Parts: sequence; structure tokens; C-alpha cells
Amino acid sequence: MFSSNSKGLLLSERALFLLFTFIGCLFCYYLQSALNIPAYVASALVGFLGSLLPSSYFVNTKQLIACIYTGSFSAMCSQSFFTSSIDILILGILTGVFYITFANYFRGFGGKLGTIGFLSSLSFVFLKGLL
Amino acid sequence: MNFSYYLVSSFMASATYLLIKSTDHTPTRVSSTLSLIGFGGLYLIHQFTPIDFHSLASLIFGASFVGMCSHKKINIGEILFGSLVFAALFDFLDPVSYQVGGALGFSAFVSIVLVWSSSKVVSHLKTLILSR
Repeated sequence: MFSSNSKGLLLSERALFLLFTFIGCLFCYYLQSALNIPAYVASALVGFLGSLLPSSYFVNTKQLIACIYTGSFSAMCSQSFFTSSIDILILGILTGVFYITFANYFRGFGGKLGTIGFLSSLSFVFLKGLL
Repeated sequence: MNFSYYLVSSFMASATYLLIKSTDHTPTRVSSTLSLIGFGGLYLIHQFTPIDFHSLASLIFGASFVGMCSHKKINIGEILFGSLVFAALFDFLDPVSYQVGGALGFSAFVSIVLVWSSSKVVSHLKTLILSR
């Protein structure tokens, strides 16, 4: 269903990436805000739980796991930046867009997902400042 | 200068790198699992002796990103140097204090790209000198 060479991503693939980055963001945010877990523990927990996703013939599971982990990185922002539930949705979408744009660059370099998360949360913080 | 940062960072990065290389697990699983084990270990140590738990836990988490490199592109020597650069960045810039998500991953990425490009330049210079 999905090509492993994701230079020409399918629409359904992009939608899945957006969904999974949002899920990563949401869970990490929830663990931090509701359960008062430190950001690094929340992100590692989300990454670990995400990595338990069963592999599928139809979907590139490794990419989806990477999406979840990237989403959790961007949600490591200070909680003071999140004033409403819409904020986490905006951050999730931003992360998904950045992931889709940059996932094919710098393959094999550690910290790539964190960099995408960093760009997303930085954009989110700037956007919040502008609005 | 906190020497324990350099030690912890190089241990965590090389452990992540070697585990990814030798097992079938995804880099995400290895990084998150090792980080969680590291947090648990730190928590236990923290019960007996006073340590800066939050800084060391953040360092452990960030250093695991340095180790998430592909073994086809980056060798263990570059990982070790990268982890030292990461520890230095962590020590002097304190990326966690900026309160922006992904700062640790970005620092890890900068460290590893810096080491990788330096090693490419050095090997290129070596070839140039030897060919003369």
C-alpha cells in the first residue's frame, strides 16, 4: 500500500503521519499535564509505547513510530505555552507538516527527529507570540 | 565543567548505538527503553546519594539520540566524539532551560553533524596530503 521510498508520499500516508504525530503530542502533553510526569520521562514513555506498534504489511510501521516519537519531542515544550486544547492540535499539525517535509533529509543521523520536533515547537512558540 | 556529564553521555550514546547495531529493535525502541532504564537507575541512586536528577536524566535522554545514528554512516569513534560534544553543549548551553521541545534532539543532531563533517574534512585532507 505504501511505498518505502517516501519521496512521493501518498495522501493517505501523509494523513497517517499527521495523525500519529498528533497522537504522540497529545499523549506526551497528557502525561505531563494530568499525571505531572517530567517531560523527558513522558516523551520516553510515549516513544516506548509507540515502539510496541505491531508491524503491518500495509503500513510502514517504522515511520509511524518515528512520527509518534517526533510528536512527543515537540510536546516537551513548557506547559505555560499551552493555554487551550486547540494549542496541542496546532502543535500536532505543525509537527506532522515538518515531519512530512523533512523526514527524507539527513537519514541516518541521530537527533533528526528531535530537530524536527524542535523546529515545530519553535514555530509554535513564534506563532503563539504573533497571535 | 561537570565530568560526570561526559562519562554518562558517552556511555549512553555508545550503548544505544551498539544495541541498535546488534539487535533487530528499532532505534526508537532502543533509545526510549535505555532512557527509561537510565531514569530508573538514576532514581535509585538518588535515593541514597544527592544528585542533580533532572539534569542527568535529560542528559541521558539526549545522549541516547546521539546513539540513534545509522552504523552505515557513522562509526563508533564518531559516536563517542559526538557524545562528548553533546555533553559540552549540554554543560555550557543547558538546552533544557530554553523550555522548547526537541532542544535535546537538536543539540544531539548538531553534535553528530559537527563530528561527522569534521571527520570528512580530516580524511579529505589526509588523502590530499598523501597523494602529493
